Amino acid sequence: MTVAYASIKGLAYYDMRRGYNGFTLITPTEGTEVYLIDMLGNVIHAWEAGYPAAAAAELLPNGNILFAGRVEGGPLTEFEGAGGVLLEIDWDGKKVCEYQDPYLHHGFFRMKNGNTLVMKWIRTPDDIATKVKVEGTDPSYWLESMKRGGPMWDDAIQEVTPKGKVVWEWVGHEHFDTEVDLTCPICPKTEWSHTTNVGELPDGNIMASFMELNTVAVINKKTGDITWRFGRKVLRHQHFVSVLDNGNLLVFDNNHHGYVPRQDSRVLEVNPEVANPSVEHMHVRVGAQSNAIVWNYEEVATGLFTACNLCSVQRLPNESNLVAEGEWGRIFEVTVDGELIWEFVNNLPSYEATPGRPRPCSVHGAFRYGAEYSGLKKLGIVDESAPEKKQAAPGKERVKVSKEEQKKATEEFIRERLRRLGY
Amino acid sequence: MSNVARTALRGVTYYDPLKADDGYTVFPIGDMGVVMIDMEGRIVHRWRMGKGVFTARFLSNGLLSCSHFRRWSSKEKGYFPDGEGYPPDRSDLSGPIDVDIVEYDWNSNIAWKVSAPLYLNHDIFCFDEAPGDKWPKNGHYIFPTYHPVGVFSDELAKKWQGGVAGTEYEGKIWGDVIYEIDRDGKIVWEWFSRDHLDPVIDAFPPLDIRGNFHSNSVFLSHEGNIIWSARVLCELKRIEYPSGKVIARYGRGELYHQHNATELENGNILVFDNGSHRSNYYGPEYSRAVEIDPRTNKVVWEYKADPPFTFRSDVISGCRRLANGNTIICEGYTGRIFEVTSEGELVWEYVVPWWSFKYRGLTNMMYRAERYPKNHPAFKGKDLDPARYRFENRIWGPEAWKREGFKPLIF
Repeated sequence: MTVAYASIKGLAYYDMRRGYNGFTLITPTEGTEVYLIDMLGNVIHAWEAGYPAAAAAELLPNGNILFAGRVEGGPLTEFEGAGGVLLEIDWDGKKVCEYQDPYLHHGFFRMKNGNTLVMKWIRTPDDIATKVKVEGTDPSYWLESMKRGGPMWDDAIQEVTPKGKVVWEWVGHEHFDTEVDLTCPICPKTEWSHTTNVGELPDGNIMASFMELNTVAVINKKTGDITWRFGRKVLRHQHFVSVLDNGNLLVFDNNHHGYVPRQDSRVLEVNPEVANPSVEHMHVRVGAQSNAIVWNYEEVATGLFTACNLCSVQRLPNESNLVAEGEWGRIFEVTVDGELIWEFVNNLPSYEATPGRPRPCSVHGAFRYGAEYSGLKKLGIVDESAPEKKQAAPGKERVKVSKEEQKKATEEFIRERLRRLGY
Repeated sequence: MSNVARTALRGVTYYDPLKADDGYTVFPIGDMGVVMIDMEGRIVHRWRMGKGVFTARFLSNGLLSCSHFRRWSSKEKGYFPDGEGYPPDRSDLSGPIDVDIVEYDWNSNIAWKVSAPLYLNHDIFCFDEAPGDKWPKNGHYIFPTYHPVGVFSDELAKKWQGGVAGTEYEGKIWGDVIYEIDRDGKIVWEWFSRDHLDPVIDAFPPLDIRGNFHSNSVFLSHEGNIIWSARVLCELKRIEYPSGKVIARYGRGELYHQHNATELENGNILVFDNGSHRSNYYGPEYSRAVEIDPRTNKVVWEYKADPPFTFRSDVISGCRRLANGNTIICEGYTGRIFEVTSEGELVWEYVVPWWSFKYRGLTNMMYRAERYPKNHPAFKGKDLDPARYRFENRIWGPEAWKREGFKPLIF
């Protein structure tokens, strides 16, 4: 039990004027539900998925959520991130479509053409598996239980149509280089790459994040070749990578299993156009720098931003970032300068603390959607009262509202809201 | 600090007076010296040293024995001392490198001092503190260092297995050295890891830099030998004194980058298992306090939090067994000191409210914290009224942290 670090739950901090106000979709690790909360931490809507989550769910523009679930009793359920099912669930909780594959793991990526990229484990042929090298020293000498060998799995990436047909496939061991793609000696030896995220770059190529290789890669969609690698000696077991609109990658670098054990995580924005990224050892506490890194966020204080796995990061339209520190269940919004705007710790109904036996409040991740997002139409709250959103009728001049009046109205609105919520 | 949920609670956050071991807790606060607090978190005494303290422990004669760095802040932005000649990417080599051992009296006057003893880093151990009757109470100090004289020859370095190739510090392995010094600061006994460790048995772990073994504590045992903890080796060694032979190794596969091994009265070893790089494990990392029976080399007691990741410190930290059987644990990196019963129940918890800029960031970390019973000889005849520190207690004492439940901060 930890009182100091684990007792504050729910909304902790909110700077109303600067936050990207909207609704946050949270996928807890406990339970089988996905929640939509407002800025004050109230549950606005919930989906029952029927499966525990394998990754953070996303709200699609059509109002459905895309959810990766974990099927119990699958062939590889002991692996971290094991999934097995991909669901699209509409606003009212009805399954729209379901795609099953026992080897699915982690999340998904909904492509522009409506297809979905998924990740699945695939058995590495034994002749390749014996050639796989580890970073550092092969740990066979160190501990009996770490002796390498036995079956090994790597990853395939598939493009699946809404009807469940696989139209494109990329198999990891056909394209990995055993001399370059070194695996982690400490992680379980049953995996080579451990993909955590895939995405589509603006030019149509595929981005993939291989956690055990400490590598974010760009894959040529036509040939399947890995054309760009980033992360060796810079990233340490990154668990979440997403593609930004400008083509850069937003990386959650967990800083786990580094040469020098350090527990502070960071968030990086990486430019994949930089060929042969350099490695500069600049930062003892959180890791190395590189010329491909265009922006980073680190917590200024030691030990207060630490996540070994389970996390997400999202760049919001106001240029701030929504970060989910997964295992702590802490979701927060920070500006580009690292200033806190909003903070919430998972206290959702699936988190039930019983005295003496607290359940983890961990979350897979969280994403924020503005009130104007088309996926939130069903909510019926598209905010028409907000003065800046009011559209002048055609032909009529818009009623001018002074800034002070605007401010007053906003304050009144917020005060009323808080009163109703009992703050 | 963009973390309200984990910084809002400070000072004593939990206290069960019936189960906790009543006493005073002593810990260093950054560059601001050493404080002693009572169980309510009130400051009852403060030592002002004007420089950073690493460890602070009472000797039986009532003096406070401290190790502190003369070079705490480096040229680089005034943060942590990588020190001259220590490139930041070899951070594991960069402990505090120039250290004084000083014994302070109650009024922060220097009672005895040895200057810059040979690249001393981490812990010190005074012969006066040794349990049992095998050790002379002569005031000698024993401590681990990484000194240039311990550097391995290229031939030996090539033989030494494990680690990440090419991460040697300036191409060398800085083998650790243990020194014993007398009251004049003269070396009376020395131990070189290159002479007594085996390049295969004591190899580096698979994913560590090959700079040094990063030894962090020595303890003089009842039986007259030395228990040595080297963080990078993820193992404890028992070293025969004075021959220097390694006679036993403990904790392989259980300890990961451990700190602060102490021997208990029953002969077991209590050690803080930091837990980074647990093998075959990629879940959220967690730390433990572990008691190992050296006769069987098995873990006989452990404390880990529930859920485990809420107790984690990858670096520094320590733990001590108290008189009533409780264990006081110092989660150093995040500045939390807490006490647990042998059943693992939390009975006292304190979060250090002093923040300072070092170690490349804002931090409330401390290397060690110690708890002393109220009848300790050092407190005899001393005024321990917290009212003497009225001003400090208003800022850092329990009144500053009194709150009726946490309310979110909304602007």
